[in-house]
Amino acid sequence: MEKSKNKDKKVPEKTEQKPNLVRNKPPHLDDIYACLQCGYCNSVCPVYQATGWESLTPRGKVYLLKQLVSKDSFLDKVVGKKISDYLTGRGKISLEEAINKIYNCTLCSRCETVCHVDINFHEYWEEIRKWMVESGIKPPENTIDMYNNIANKDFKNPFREPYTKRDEWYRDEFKLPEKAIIVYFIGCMTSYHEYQTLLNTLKVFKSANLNFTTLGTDEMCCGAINTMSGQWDNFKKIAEHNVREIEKRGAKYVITGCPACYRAFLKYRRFVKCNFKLFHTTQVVAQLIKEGKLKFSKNFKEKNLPIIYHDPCELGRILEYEGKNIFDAPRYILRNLPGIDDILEFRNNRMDSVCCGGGGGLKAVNYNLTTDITLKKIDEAIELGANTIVSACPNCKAQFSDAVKIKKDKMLANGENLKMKVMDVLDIVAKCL
Amino acid sequence: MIALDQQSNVSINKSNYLKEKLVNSEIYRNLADIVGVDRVSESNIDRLLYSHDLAPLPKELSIVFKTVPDIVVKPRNADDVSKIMKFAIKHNVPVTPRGGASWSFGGVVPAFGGIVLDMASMQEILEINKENLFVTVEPGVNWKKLYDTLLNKNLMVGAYPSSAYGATVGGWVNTGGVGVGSYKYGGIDRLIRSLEVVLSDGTILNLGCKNVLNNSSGYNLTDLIVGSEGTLGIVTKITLKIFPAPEEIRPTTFVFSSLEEAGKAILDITRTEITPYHISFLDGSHYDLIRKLETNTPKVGAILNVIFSGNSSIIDINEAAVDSIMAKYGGRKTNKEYADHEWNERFFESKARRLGPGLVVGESFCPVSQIVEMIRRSKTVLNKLKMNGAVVGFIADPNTVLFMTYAVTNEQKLVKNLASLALVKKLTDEAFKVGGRPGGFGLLFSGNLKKIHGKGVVLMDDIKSAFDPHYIVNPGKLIESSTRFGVPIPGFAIGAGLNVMAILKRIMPSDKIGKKKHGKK
Repeated sequence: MEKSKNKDKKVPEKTEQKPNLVRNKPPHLDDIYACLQCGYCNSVCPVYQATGWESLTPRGKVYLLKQLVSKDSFLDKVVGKKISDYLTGRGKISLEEAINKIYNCTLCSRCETVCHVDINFHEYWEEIRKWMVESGIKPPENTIDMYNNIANKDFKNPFREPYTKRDEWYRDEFKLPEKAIIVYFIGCMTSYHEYQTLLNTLKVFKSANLNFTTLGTDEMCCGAINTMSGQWDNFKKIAEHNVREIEKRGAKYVITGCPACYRAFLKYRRFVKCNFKLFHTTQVVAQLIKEGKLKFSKNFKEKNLPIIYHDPCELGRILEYEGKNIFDAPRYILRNLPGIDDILEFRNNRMDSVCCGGGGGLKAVNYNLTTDITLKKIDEAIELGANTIVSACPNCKAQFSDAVKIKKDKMLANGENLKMKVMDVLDIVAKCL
Repeated sequence: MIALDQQSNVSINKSNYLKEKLVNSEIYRNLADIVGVDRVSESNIDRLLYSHDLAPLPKELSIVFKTVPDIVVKPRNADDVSKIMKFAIKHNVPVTPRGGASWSFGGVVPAFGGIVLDMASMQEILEINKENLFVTVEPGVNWKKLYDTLLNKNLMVGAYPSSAYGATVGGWVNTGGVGVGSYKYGGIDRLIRSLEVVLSDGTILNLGCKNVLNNSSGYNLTDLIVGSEGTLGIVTKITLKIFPAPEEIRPTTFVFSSLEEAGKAILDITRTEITPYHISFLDGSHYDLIRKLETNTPKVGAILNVIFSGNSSIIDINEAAVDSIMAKYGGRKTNKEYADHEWNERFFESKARRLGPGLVVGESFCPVSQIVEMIRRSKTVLNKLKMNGAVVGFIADPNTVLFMTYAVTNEQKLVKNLASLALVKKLTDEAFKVGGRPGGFGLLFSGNLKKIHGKGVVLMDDIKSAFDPHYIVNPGKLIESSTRFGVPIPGFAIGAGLNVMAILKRIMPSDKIGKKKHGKK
């Protein structure tokens, strides 16, 4: 990472040189060449299923990359690249278009489950984006805005919300201590958009008498969106800031409800020494239930049953590739709540779970595409007879909520009614307290 | 004759051969009117991505064949295809249908540019009929998806390709596939009930009988389409017969000291009444290559997988019988975990590509009675060409074994990589010698057609002309290889060229293979 920072410095911003992708070799070059082009990934890629274009499949993207980074062929050397492109009818590949294709991806890593030559796609796509940015290619406009918003002291979040707003939902209601053994790292999505889940999480932690606090207005975006869009250069700073704030509060444990934050914290360890243990909220709540520390007084409303659980990619499959998955904790919680006998599963679940569409920063690049993907999932949930879609990720929840609204409107236009709720696991737990 | 037809019909203006832009944006607008703008693309990126399949064809080949299409279209249904064909015939634009593009012979690679019809965009399972056991699908349906969907309903497709994750039903029909399960249920030709095909003039035909066998009087037109490599028409709907899902699918695996011994055991099994679901074999050298990637792969002489399906108690009896046959040839039965692992790996046999990086596969059908001889010959070919590869394959039916021998190449080296294609030619030669035939032809190997069918090729030529008088449906394939300039390449010329490549390959130093250093951390 140090190296990459130095590289960045070497390239003066103002000259805007044409990036030389051939000389500046990408990471995992062997993966690019190893790709068999068998197209197994097409069958599982949610973006391909929604669009149907080869250029939006892992196979197509790898092929494109191969074209962008490979040396001139024999023919190119003999007659020159321009003429050979003309003779072969290929024409020039627009770099901007190719980059756009590569960013049209949910980073869900489902392609890795079927990859014939075992390409580690969960890190591959992130590394490729990082390499592109380091080579002087601009990431999509929206992600640059997000990057700037995070770096801005007035915001410290990608959504351009004032940082002072971060704790206004709970500051007065929950008087949290200055110092505590546990820090609940809320995350921007939960802080600004899914504050219901935030309040519910606080309620659950309070009812279990946990000794916890939050970073309040000192919390800074975890930086996950920067790593997803390839803009790593201030990631170390972000890591240092958040870790310092956690240490200030004397915490030994960090709990987060956002899988993206969870993974960003795992990456912090590459840059900063982290003297705390990391947990996802579902892991903690599952443990609390096991130890009998949560007293439930209400049954989950029967009219919202049955519920279907969606595995967030970053909590399940990708974490499995990075070490240890969290498949069972959310399911354990749901099965042990009063009023819930069993939960439905999507046809593709756990390692094979299909992304909700909102992953990988795709929302910032191609919003319509994300809803197309989500609508397919909602159709499946309806078909399976679910009345509530449950996830353990604020991003998934927001994504599903948006798409359910669209679906409801569509059905209403046909005179039909859709009864579908979208909830986080913690929302359900809080409802039963 | 065909070359003449083609020169007069295909819209390559003779004086303008090198001035590209066969198809201009007027054609784009016309096609967009048919299918909608979001289903047509003539961007350089899309054209490039639809110009290849599994085979890493060098850029230089695009000088000889116009592999890069002018436009890519994604039809929604047979009507769309019909309209596109009518348009294509009017403007003399070649049309190349494309499925999953998971074959390695360039069947979906255009020889003359023109339109690529991305049939993978039609991927609906239209009807699953439990009463009369058939399923009707669109050609772009993925085999794995079909298999899973049917299994959910306690039904099963008879056979499916070993590339089921990538292959489409339409693609397998057009390549006349045999695969996993063919030993018991036959190849795709035995599974088809009916086909909907769009001819070059836009006529939509229904061939075969949806509900019953088509064995009685009348020319069997569905069989003409099977293995036609998309040269007769565009398949837009397929009805397959299906089967009740078996009570159990039980894989068993045996380790042999050498593939020759395993071959003897295979011959013995195929001469009994036992009908396993699938029989596949892999030489020990396959595992030697895999070990370079996955270090815990055990060392074996050869592996033979026998997979049973059906009623568990009947499987018990058959398994015991197979066990005793295997023991006769020194086959040692592995535990269940190993067998299950082997069974799950059936889709992933080309992992060794990473070692090159590159892979060349030679497909040939041989008589089971000659299996040991063909194994020896294949190994000799690999040795003579100084290639690192392995003899693998499966038994297609009690008479036929399909060899899918592969070798690792390095696609970054132009000459060596081209010379590696000699493997395909040499294995084909050996297959002919033992009384077999090569598999598909694709872009380069249509010269084999005459070797297999002799004068029958003339008749095939006439059939092609009857189906496609204007020579616009996947031209330059199957009947005759032809360059983009309309000059036909005779089979012997490609043969001679590949023989030169073989000599070259034998002179050149042997391939260096090995896992390249992973660029991470």
